[in-house]
Amino acid sequence: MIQSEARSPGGLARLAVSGVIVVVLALQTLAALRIGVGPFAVPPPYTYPFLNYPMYQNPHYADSVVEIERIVATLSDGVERPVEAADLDMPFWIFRRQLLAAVSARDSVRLALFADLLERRRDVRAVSFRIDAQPVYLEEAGVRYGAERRGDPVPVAAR
Amino acid sequence: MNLSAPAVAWNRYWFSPAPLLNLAVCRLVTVGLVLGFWYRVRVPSFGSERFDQLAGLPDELYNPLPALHLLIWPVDWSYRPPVEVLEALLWIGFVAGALALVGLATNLSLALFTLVSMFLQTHAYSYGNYHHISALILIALGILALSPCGRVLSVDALWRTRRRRRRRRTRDGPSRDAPVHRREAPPEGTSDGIFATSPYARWPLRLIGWLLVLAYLSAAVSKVGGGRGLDWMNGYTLQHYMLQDGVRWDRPLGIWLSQFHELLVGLSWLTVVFEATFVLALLGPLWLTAAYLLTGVGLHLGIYVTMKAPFFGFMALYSALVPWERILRSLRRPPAITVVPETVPIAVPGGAPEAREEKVT
Repeated sequence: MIQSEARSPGGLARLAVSGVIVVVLALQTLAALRIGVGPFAVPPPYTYPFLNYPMYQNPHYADSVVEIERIVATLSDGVERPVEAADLDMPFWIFRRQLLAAVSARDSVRLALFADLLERRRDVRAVSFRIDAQPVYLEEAGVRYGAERRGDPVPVAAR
Repeated sequence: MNLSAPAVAWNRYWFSPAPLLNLAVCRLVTVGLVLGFWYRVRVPSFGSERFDQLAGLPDELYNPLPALHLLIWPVDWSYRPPVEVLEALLWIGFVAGALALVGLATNLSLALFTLVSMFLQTHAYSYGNYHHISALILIALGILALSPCGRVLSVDALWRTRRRRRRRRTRDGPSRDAPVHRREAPPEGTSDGIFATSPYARWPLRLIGWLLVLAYLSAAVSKVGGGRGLDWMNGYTLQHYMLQDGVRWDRPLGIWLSQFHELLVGLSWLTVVFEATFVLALLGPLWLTAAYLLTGVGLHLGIYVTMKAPFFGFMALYSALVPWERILRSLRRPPAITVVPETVPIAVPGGAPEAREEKVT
């Protein structure tokens, strides 16, 4: 069938394009539906730009509480200060994903990277980081912020 | 030519002649969107990852994506481009994108634009964070680069027409005003100016359409699959996300809207049904396609206004499903002169042979 297609007028071009179609559709199907076992079970983003789309996928219920998290650093002089992406001159999402993940995982070695960055940018030395979470309630009068919950500080590893 | 039935059906589905205009408009919208974002944020990431910020991050955070490895391996498997290289690539990409937009050396410029966009985007996503908003656009750019999307609405097309005219004049004689009697037969499809068709004009648009279908299906499966059932559509889920993003991104409309539980139950169902059945936009009649695209635009704009999730790329790719050629033809068609009879018989339900006659004004 392929041979006869290749011999038809424009057949070779159609075969080549058909190959492109099949490969693109196969890659997007595997990635989109997370089909893959063994060595083919490559998680996103390693398959980029072929991705699945699970944004906002987790269900929430009547008792779910929205929490706004912020990162607080304790400096070498004992002063506490919130740290934001602008303090480290980092893109917001990289800051959020990397630093939050490091504090949540209590990864002191990784936190040292951010302490160094903070020192370079703001000339202050952090000795620990923690995540504080503030609940947000929706009421008839509007949004009400609850009392902030203080997280456990994670010490920064010595470099 | 002895093709089996599946091969014939395959060829008919992907390679039956289609208007090149549809493909060209898709090129204009897609490239225009990417360039617009480059102009606005000066990075092709549709986000806020500035080159100087990325260059200032510690090496330990840099973990190139496989697609970036493929692009940097000639230099070094784990090459980390400095800010000067990123800036240079940005400007090369900007020029290539501008050429692709106006359709000058379209395929070449579009291929270069795709490669540069892929490089800059995968680099921006090699620091432990990535987004979904530009992935389909990048694949679509690559698809368009392999297509005859510069055959109309392009500088290439203008030059091609001028060259053809000049050749005809040379062949038909020196007179400038001599009427042209012969036309060059196009190799395949028809070459009727802006309404020209090609057997290679359909597959890119259909493929982009299927990519959208798969992306939306993935989103729907994520929400209701994995034992979640119908919980996602309980209204509280959307309330939670709207409040969370409304507070995080200072979106008063999102915060306000998150109060209306019943409305959000309806919107949740609409979202999941839309995502799960988007395939009908591709397979259904034109009115259904229009309904899906308008709903999709409404949903994405609503999500942007209330939650600041910028899925403009998806909306740009909708241009692949719009029959631009039919729209343009209907706009250019002179008003039809129809002879309307003075009286029109109106059939009476029930089959009575008598017909009432009504004066037409």
